[in-house]
Amino acid sequence: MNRKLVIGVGNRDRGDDAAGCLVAEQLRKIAGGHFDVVESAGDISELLEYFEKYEEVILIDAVCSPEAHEVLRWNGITDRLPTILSGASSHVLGVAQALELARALNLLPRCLSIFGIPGKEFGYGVPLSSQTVRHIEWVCQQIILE
Amino acid sequence: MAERKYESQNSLDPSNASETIRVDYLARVEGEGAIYIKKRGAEVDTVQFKIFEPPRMFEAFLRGREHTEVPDITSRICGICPIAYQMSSIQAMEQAVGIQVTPTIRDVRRLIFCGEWIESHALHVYMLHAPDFLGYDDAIQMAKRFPKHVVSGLHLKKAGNDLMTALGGREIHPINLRVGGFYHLPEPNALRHMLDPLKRARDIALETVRFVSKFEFPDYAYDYEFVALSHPDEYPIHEGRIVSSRGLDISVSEYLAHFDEIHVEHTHALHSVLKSRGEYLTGPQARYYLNENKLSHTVQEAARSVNFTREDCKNPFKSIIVRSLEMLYACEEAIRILNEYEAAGPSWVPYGPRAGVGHGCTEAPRGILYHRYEIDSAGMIREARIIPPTSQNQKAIETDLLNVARKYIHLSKPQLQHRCEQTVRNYDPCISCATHFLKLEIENE
Repeated sequence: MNRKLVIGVGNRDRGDDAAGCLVAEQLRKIAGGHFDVVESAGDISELLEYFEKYEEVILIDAVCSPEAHEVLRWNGITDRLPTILSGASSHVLGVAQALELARALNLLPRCLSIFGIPGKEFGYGVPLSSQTVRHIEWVCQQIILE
Repeated sequence: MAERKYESQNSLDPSNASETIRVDYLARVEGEGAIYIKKRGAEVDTVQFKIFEPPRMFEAFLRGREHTEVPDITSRICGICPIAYQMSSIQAMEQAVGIQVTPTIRDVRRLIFCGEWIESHALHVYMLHAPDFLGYDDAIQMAKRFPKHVVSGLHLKKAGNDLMTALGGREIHPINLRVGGFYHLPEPNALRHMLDPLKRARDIALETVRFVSKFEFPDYAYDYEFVALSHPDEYPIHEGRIVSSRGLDISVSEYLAHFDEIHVEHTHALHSVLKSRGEYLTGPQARYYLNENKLSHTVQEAARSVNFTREDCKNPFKSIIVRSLEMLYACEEAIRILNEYEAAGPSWVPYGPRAGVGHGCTEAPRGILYHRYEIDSAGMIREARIIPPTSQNQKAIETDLLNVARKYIHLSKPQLQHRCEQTVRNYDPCISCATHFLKLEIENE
């Protein structure tokens, strides 16, 4: 098992919310065994299990923010995370809440890098926006380069 | 334990005729709703629990669709209890087409349902409800003081999720259930790895019972009419007759002869009533009250060890204890089924469509979930009716709110507000799976 994991968070049926999943899909094809790749719906218990297993985690998720046009980046260890990361229903903690809970429990990995891909369309079954398609390619390149 | 800090100067002074309490965002409650409380002087005379979530039209979506599509469509109604929606609809369809599943299929259905109870109850107990009793705004704050307990809750939830994934293909909106059984029954060896995590989960569930039973509970009780499924041989999860604490005992097919849905102006969700007597309560307290003797020895002993009795079910704030006991039961039941599981026979029972009417009712984590379908000879759905537990509990929620507001009207505004929010959260209401927005308004006249 690698020590590095890429987690693509999202929902493939909700337009640009698929961004994290599609980054994971592309990286799985080209990662060449340098790191592990998983898709996730962002479930807190699942994320914490990954954090326990890996020292270095890269997490990609769509963000919903009218002001954001470029890919956002956070250091998950030192930065306070905004709620625009996967806001979800109260029965499913959003990614930001999940990460804050992991922080409170001292269960964050040693390194946690977060990419937030700004989305425009989050409707049921709608296609990806062209902006998101570009952002997905850029994030994949960044992860490979780094 | 941490204490909430309240500003006592905000107390609801009966002499202040224009005082209003408003909560714009109530976390840890599912869906879009509001509470309206009207005071006359020092008396509370009106309470309305309003659901303004737009209608979701699932019954209309289902008309004209193939009856085989019903598990995949109805599972989308809820991301936290999709198995209940799938199972109620599947059983209704199986009654309509006249088939009975094999014992193996029945066992696997009960097994995946155990997974749903574990993950749903764990989420509510640890993430949504426990912070109320410990004086925290949310589980993140609670985790700083009670990290071991929160981690335990997450392990419990994961055990339930993993069971749903192993049997259903995925934990949210599982895809392996179909009319007649499953698309695929896993080999016994493929499920053996679930045993150890479930045994750990069982231990955690027992610890959870002990943990939550030490909470301080408001002194409140109400003589509800409890309504739940009841089965002669087992604690009810996915089968049984519908019974109540006041003598109701009917088959699932008789549901609509005894229950009615009525439109109430202040809410988008229909209120359910017993035609003969009105409001009732469904959910963990009702299940426990009516089926305590069907619980395993371990669970009954755990209840005794914390001095929990059937009468405690009448205090809705103690529903957190009942959920913990049910988690313990679900873990034990899952282990029992896994130990006995042999993938014998077909994964589904073959059948041909025929015109008919079918009824299904299962125990979702929040209470009984009734489905009725009418299909034609080609297997197309002509009529669909779905009555979820939260809509059935609306009247009981309003009664609790009225009684709690009256009992605690002397508290400061923030304290009363918190107590009213907690009263709603006792029910783990699932108004929808989209947003969480509850507005509380208390008005003096």
